[in-house]
Amino acid sequence: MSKQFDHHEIEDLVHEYFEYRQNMTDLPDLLVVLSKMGLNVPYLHTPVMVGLNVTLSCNQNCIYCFIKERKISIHTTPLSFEEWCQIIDELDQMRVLDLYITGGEPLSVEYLIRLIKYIKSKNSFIRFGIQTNGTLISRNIARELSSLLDGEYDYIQVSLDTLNPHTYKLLRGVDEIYRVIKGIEILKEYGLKVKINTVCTRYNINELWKIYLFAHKLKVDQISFMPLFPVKRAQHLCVRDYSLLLKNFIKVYRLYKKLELPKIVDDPIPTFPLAIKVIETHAPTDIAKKLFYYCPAGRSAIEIDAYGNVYPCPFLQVDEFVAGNCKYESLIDIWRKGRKWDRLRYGRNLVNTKCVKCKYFNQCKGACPAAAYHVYQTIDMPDSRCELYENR
Amino acid sequence: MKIDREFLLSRKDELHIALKPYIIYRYEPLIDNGTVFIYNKRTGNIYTGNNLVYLVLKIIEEKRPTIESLLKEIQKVDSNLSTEEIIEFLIELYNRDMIVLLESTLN
Repeated sequence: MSKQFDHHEIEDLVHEYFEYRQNMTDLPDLLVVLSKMGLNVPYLHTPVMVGLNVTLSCNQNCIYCFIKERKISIHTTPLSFEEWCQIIDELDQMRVLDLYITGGEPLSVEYLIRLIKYIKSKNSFIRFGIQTNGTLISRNIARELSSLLDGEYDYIQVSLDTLNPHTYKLLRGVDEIYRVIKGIEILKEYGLKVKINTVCTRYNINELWKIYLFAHKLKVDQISFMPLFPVKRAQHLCVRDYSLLLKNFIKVYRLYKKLELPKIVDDPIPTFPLAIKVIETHAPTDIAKKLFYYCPAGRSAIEIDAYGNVYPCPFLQVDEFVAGNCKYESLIDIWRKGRKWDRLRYGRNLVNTKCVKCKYFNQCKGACPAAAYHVYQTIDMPDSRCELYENR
Repeated sequence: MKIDREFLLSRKDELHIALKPYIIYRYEPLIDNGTVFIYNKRTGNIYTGNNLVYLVLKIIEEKRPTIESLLKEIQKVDSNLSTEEIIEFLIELYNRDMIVLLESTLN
């Protein structure tokens, strides 16, 4: 626990945090309902959320990039435009509701706009998003996108972790912050819905509020503050002091309450396991009891990479969790068989860990399996960020 | 347009039923022994239904049937369901802005 804050101050922050949690969601209602329903079954009939990893190439070199941590034996060539279209047909038939394109850098893919046109010709995807680093946005691309995307739910997510060019270069390996800002301005000029994604690290934790104000100035629609995923190369950047994280996030939340735009849609404190220690110390017991962790990996979500491999989640792109390849098998068969996903769907084996003695075990279930895997090389261990576990 | 039981029955051989383009449904067989989630993209409203509701939506989506052929198909699956009950259900779907009735010639 940080010594910078007294008990009452943190207690207030925790209460404000829960006020935020109760009011914030960017999901269409159906996704919220299905996510809650999904808690009661090992996996949904078909996935609700799917990510298309259309390329592994990127023009940046981010220190925390999890794509670089992939351990995959590739036995095939990248998917062609036509093969992606077949996958889109299947996803449409499967009633996938939330679809996003990611990478690598998706805007570097030559057929991207054609692919988006194809996606938007389908009816079932309620929400569609593009996740980009923002450096390749041009007026031509923005014009095309504005004619294709739905103004209410579709979005373009741009990564912006800092406003400091020096920090930007440290985190992303390139000196391109001005291109990103220009890119966001162009997207807004064309009336597109823009979401800024900020990964919270030791480098930017004190400037979250500045990023929020800047996003407000640019008329950005949404902003998400994500915790750093603990890939090996970036573990030294993790913010371990969760009360500091909380304090800086609440500063942003207070700005949101005044300014109302951008809407905050994700926070860097996903409760289990990150903030539970702070919460259990400072929040009333009834709040801690209401918390739960739901991992959608292989239960309601999948990710498909540029070679057709199907994973349960973006952070588990390793041979051990590839359930199949779309080139050789239908996606619905891959989903139903869920090869290698039993532990994700029916529960990890945590009997030999201290988790089973933890009072939060039934709510937490070991939290993020990928965060366990990247540190312990197995998902049969708790989330590596759990302070309660470390201190037992 | 307001519709009622008499109107539907009097034109059951002519009128075809189709789903509105902004209606999306998803079936989950493992939730409560089979639940269909129906979502209206335009209003954001969500409705849930049982296996029979799912069957009706599936037939409407795949075949754009006439009212008469829909009645036959459903009663093949569940002979206990009366024409009255199915017609009432269609009126409910119509009033909730989920289906559209089409003249045969437009189908």
